[in-house]
Amino acid sequence: MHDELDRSHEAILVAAVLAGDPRAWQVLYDSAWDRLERYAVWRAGGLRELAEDLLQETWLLAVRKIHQFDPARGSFAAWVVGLASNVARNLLRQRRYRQRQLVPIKSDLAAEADRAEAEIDGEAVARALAQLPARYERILRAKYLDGLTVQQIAQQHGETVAAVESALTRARQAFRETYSPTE
Amino acid sequence: MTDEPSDDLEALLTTAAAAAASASVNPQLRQQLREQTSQRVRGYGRWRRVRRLTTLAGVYVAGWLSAWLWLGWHPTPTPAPAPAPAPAQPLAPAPELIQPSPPVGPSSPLQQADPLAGLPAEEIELLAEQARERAEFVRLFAKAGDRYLAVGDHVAALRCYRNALERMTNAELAVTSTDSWLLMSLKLALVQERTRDQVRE
Repeated sequence: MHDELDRSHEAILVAAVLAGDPRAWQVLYDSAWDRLERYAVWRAGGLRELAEDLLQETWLLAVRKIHQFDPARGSFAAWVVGLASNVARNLLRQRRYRQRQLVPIKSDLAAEADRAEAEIDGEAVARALAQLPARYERILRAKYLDGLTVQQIAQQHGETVAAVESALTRARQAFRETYSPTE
Repeated sequence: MTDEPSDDLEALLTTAAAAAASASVNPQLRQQLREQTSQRVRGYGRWRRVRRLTTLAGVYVAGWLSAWLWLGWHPTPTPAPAPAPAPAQPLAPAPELIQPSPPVGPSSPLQQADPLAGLPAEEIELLAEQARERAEFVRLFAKAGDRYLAVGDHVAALRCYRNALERMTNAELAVTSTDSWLLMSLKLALVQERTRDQVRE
């Protein structure tokens, strides 16, 4: 956000990273960490374990795909958050699959049930966000995570206030439809 | 449209956002991932240098192959067969076509051949380490590198070349036709590295 680097500076740093300079990478990493961390916690519905998995997967992906980052198309932090958005979907899918495979043994049932109950809201929020179309997820992120007003979102996305309001309504509706805590 | 949350589900989003604003993940994770990803970036540098060296070596080998093929298809012309000899006649003794070479004096260039010619690479390297003049130091280490390279000891060759390169002047860093492929590659890489450092400064 505010500590993000300007585009030309980022372009130079990316060139240095591709030449093998770890210091340049660390500057980019530190500049984007806070924003990605907040995003990861939000996307994980506050679940710390899931947020950490998301951070880890995203940074490993970012360093592998750094050659694809184009500073002309947006900031490094925004690019990393975009990667995290896709990573979150995959993680949630894998997590769900694992949960279906696992059948807790009888003695662990009570503890497991307590833990599951505590996590259910966060898990359901994360899952619902993962099922939303990317545009809806972006607009909810701008509204709730970045704390932007409708006017600010409109300005940022180059859209009218009415269009953003309409999209926000549809995004909320989609979230309501996909959110299912009992599932 | 209002900016306020309108129902409980929206409150969940707001709560998650609030958690995101206040909560932080394991502080060690940040440092751990920083190290892990930096390690990978270091690998990019090494991989880039290996690629560059491989490319240069490939170009060098291709050049040699081209020259070899060219010479193979265009053999040096053989002299035309001599006309059939005339009937034998008593001839005066033919002058000798090959003259014995004159005795070589001590100042002849042939006798000023490289004094290192018979020395093994290890001894040349030792001489290089003992050299007091920079030019001699550079020359001997480069020579030792050549010797090591000729016997296939690439690690030792690299060590000697690196010593030589460290004390080479900019003029000496220019690639010459007598440089081995490895020295040539190292010179080019060093020149590029220095240029990049100058640009950064």
